[in-house]
Amino acid sequence: MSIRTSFVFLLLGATAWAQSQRIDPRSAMHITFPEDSPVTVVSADWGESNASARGGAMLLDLHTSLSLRNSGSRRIRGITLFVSAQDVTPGGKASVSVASLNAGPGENFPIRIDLRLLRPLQSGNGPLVEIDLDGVLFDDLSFYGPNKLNSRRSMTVWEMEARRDRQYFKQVLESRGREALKGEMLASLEHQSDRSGMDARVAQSGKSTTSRNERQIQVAFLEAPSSPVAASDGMVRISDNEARSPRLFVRNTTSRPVRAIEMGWLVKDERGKEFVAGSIPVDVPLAPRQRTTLVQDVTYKFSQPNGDPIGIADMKAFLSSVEFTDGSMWVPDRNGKLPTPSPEEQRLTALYRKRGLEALIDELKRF
Amino acid sequence: MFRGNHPSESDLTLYSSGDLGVLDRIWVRWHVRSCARCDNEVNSMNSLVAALRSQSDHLPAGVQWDRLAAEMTANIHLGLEAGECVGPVRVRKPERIGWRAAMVMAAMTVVLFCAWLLNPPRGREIALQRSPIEIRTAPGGIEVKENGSALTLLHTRGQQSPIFVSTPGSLRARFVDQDTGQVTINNVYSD
Repeated sequence: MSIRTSFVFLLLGATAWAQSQRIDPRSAMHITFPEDSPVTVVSADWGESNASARGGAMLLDLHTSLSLRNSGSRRIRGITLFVSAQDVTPGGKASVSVASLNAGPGENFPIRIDLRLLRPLQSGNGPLVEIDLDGVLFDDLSFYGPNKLNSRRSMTVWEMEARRDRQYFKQVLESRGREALKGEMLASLEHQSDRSGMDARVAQSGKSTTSRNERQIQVAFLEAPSSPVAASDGMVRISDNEARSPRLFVRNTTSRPVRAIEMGWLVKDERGKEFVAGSIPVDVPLAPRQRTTLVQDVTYKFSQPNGDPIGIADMKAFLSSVEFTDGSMWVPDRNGKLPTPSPEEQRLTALYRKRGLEALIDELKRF
Repeated sequence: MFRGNHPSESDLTLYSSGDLGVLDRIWVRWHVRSCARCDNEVNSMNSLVAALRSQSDHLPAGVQWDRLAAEMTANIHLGLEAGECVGPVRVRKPERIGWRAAMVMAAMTVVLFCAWLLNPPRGREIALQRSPIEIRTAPGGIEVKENGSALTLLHTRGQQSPIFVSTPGSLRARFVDQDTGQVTINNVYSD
């Protein structure tokens, strides 16, 4: 073998080694929980984590399954972990939440975190990913944690929706029987598959520009039967896929002061196709029986998940949650049609799909 | 120091004010006791100092006696020319700028003003610029991207397609984990 051939083989070997190599996730991922945390880490399975070179960058696949223990005295319903990678994206952050948990005191439960990092080859020596506890929600809706990501509000809404949906499905089973429950599951699965690919993304535009085809349209408000906040019609200026300065007239119909509301948007394009845009939290202090005009000096941009803009023909708003000043929440009941299935409905339908009706009924009885 | 057999006028003045050195003071005192002319000279100086001291209370406002005394002492020791060094510092009047320098400054002002007009301050524009942090859906996950680096939360363990929910500044993907059966909600944030 000539020296040149040996050199080529050596180069190929080095390249293959550099392309993919196992990494020690313990040094790449750092998990920190507060000392008085009601949740402790029992074990961590790091799975098939590896690193590979991509041109001038390094791609790291980190997969972990954490086994956590409820070391408190209350039943845990939800948990949110704060994920940050300061060396990779200094300003960006992420979180992983698990809703609809049912972990009693002393019980263990798993959380899986699968993430990918793309970073320059030059790097520091510290851990790449920091995982902290952002919050834990208990069955009495009390909360523990720093709540940096406002996870308390999200987890409380998820838990209230979960109670509502479980109650509804239990009622269907008791009043109309197993076949009716099966029908509900199938209808929900169909609704979810219809929704797939129909979601609209809403983003806040940096600056608004006037264009010739700007027009003002009326916004219809979808009333929920038990809503503590009533809204009459509003106005919004539309230009292509942008909605500017939405204005809604809202009124607190209860005797309790309101701190914030969360609005969802239904956007219809020129071809009549309806998209459900994400909900937008709005801090609006409303005294009992107070009415006000909700004006947002912002521009929202709606696009499909693949980035294609949605030419807006019509818009409707709906109330997805209300937060009172005492910390309690309101979510719509199931009498009206819900544009988006709750996380619990998603979980129960997935359970039915994988393990059948008996498993679903057993699961409903657990709560 | 001595002119003939008599002390000089400056020594007599210093003697009368008590500012003469020890040896010179003994010698002048011995001489004054035996010399009527010098004795008269010292007496007249003493009476002059006494008169000045009695009038010091009536000096006009702003006159600093200590400074004046120091100046006088310096005059005695070093002469009038050297005494000027403890007087007020003379300030030279600034020279007038020539018309050429004025023209150069005017031209520079015009150039700077034009440069400011062509490149106005960019503070407001920066405030309106989009955040360098980008959030988006990526193959198999949702991603937060910044300066070419990216953090992606994967939802590849989901049984079905995830449901995306977005709010301004955040993007959410929720899915049911096929192994644990748990509903997992991933979020990425840009602010």
